[in-house]
Amino acid sequence: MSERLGFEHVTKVYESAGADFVAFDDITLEASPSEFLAIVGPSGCGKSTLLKMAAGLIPPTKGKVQLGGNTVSAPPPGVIYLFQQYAKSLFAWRTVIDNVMFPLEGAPRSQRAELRARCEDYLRQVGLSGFENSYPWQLSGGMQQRVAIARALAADPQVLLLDEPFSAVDALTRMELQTLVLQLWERRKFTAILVTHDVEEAIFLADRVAVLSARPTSLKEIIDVGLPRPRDQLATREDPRFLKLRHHLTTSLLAKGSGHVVAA
Amino acid sequence: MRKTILSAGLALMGLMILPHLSASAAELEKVRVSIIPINDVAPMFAAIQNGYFRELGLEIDTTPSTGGATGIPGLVGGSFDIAYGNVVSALLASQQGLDVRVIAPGTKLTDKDTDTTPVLALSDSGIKTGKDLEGKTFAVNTRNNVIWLYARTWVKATGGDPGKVTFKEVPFPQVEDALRQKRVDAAFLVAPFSIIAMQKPGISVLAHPYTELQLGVDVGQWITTGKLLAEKPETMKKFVAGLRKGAEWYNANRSSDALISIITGYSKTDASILKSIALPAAPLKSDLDQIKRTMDLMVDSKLLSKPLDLSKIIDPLAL
Amino acid sequence: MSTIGTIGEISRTGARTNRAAQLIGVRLYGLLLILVLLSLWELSARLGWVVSAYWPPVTAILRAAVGELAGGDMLDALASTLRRAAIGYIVGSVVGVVLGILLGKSRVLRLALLPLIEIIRPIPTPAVIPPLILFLGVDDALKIFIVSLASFFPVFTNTISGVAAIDDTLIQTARTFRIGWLRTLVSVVLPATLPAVTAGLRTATSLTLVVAVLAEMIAGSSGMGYYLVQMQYALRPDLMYAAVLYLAIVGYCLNRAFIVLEARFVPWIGKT
Repeated sequence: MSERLGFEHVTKVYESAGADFVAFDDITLEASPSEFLAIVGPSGCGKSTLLKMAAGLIPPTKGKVQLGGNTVSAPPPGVIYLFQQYAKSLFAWRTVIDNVMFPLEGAPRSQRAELRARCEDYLRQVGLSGFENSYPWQLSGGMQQRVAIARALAADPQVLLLDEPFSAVDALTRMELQTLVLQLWERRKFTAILVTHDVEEAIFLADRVAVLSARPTSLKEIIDVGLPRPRDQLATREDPRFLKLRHHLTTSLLAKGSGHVVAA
Repeated sequence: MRKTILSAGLALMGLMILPHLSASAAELEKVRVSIIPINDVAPMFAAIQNGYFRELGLEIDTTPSTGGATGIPGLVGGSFDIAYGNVVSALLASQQGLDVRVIAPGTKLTDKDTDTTPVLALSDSGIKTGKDLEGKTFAVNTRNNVIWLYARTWVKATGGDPGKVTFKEVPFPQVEDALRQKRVDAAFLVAPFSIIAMQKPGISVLAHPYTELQLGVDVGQWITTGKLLAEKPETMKKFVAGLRKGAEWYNANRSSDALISIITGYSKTDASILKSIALPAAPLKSDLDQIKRTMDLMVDSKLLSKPLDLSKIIDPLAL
Repeated sequence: MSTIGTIGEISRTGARTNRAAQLIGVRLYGLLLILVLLSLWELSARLGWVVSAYWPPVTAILRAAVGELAGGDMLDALASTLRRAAIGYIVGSVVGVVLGILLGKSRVLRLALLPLIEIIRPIPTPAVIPPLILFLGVDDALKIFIVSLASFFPVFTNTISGVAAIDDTLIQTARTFRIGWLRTLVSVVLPATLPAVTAGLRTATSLTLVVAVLAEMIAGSSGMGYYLVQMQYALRPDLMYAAVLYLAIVGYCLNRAFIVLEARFVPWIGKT
């Protein structure tokens, strides 16, 4: 199950100390059903704000966000947000399994056992079998983000919004989590929108990469990744096309910068 | 079947409750009295013990208050029908616009031999008079009350200026220690603390201000409010009658073991200490002249801004 | 106890190997110190080094304390104090948590009620008792009210700042799962505030017993506060200190019980 998610002429203006501050202006962008779309841009360009609008957490000043055929005005069903700060998004007072069960607690009591079994399966899928009764704060950072991923799966996502979800873990864990998300995406075919400042991550995961400019933010370009799937942490990253895209995107992102930054 | 058991149970419960209701509600009227658990209230406890109130149809429910701080506020707030307090507290309350009424006398110092409220100082301090206390500290239990008033009056009477003496609030139980540790230079102390303090050497009596300055002074009072007096005139009359009978018994049995065991019962003071105290006689009637003299002293010391109409404060019941 | 352990570590070098044995040793020194002080107390009272009617020998206090176990007024007094303290504590804490959450969540309520609460807060307990007698009488209502008031403030202030400190991410998480406001309040805001609430409750626990006793001392006719003053006026310092001893034991036990309950019911304290 998946949905089309589109930004139509979306503008966000903040008012601070009497002066208007334009976060981004007139952005039109669309993710097709089951597409993996990445949005990259320099820090402070409002990428997260864009994602929170898609989740219905923040309203746009102008324009609208469309999900399927409907305009998003409040958190819509099936749109799940994966936060960068996984520790603050998990409920410390709940065990791992109870965290995963959280989205399903509205269900009738009679279905409890079945839902629990399903959540245990999600935990198995993210590699956390045996940790059901641990508390989040007893786990490592990477494992905590896995709990958040399992909880997102439990909510049966049609659209999964990933807000720099791997930026707070170490490099090796990051790669493991990227592979995990790709596997789950291929299995469940939800629409995925990833916001990141990591160009390699965007290319590795996405079908298309949208590049945002620095403030006032606008859509600079959209590129097709076109790398074969399933992707592999070594083979994909060594593919000449990968390197070419990395070169292109890095240049594009640095273009508006100070010009003295040396590309990695 | 179940219904029968239930109704039988309810009936049984009813039977258990009923006798209690009729016994307490119909026969005895409850009077809530705030007391200070000291020797002063012995006549009332004697009246309770001897059944004088019960004979009059009253049941006395006493609420002790150690400092006496809750007596008059509790009276005005409706927690009590009658409170034990002193003459100065009663007049101060009246000045504040509270409708307090004295319905019976509590204590009266008519005899120098039974005055156990001396001014004390360390024997080697060289202090003899109020004049010697200028620039020094004088312990009283509470400022702006009866002890303070007579302490000031004594300082003045013995050539001192009360304005030059620092009056320091020290609770009675701590006074002896404060004197011996030289944290205060003199103290006005009541029994049994004064007796205990003088049992060990080093402390001398400078004076007995009450009996030396105003022999026959009315100190303790039984107080109610004008409102309660109007609502329950019969109850108040019965209380005063019972109390008077208790005072008569007390006066007749002042050194008896029976009286000492009554006092020990409510004050928890050791009987051996009580036996060493000569208890003063209990008054049967309030003395308007004496109260007026106290009032004049209060005006002198600026406790009262002007004299009060005592006929409105001292109820005829007390006279 | 942990403090004693720390001192032990500092005062000895190479503490790793025989640490357990050393801790016991240090603990013994601690006990020894207490014993020495108590012996000095005993001697000073017995030999008349301190001349005071209020300096009974330790053994007299212990005898009084044990004597009261066999039947006396003290345990009744303790029970009535604990009953008042418990009721006041529960009332004050519940009101503190509820108002803390409501005011933490609602700006309107905050503007309407916070000034009043801030005005009441610094008023010392003994000062409010006489005027309160006019409204609440001198019986349980007064003392329970005073204890509730004293427990209310630490619970309230901790709750309100706990609510304010809840990370937005947590609330947004609940929103993206489309959880209604009531369930968000009950199953997100409330548990997320619990560590702060617990800190407030712990402060309140140590306060309630003290305040209950204080209120009974000023406007008492029963309870430990009244008992203390009564024994002081009755020249029974042995019973007075025995009462203090029982209060100290009860206070210590309450604190220990709180720590145990805290670890049992709020294990995530300090973990987020």
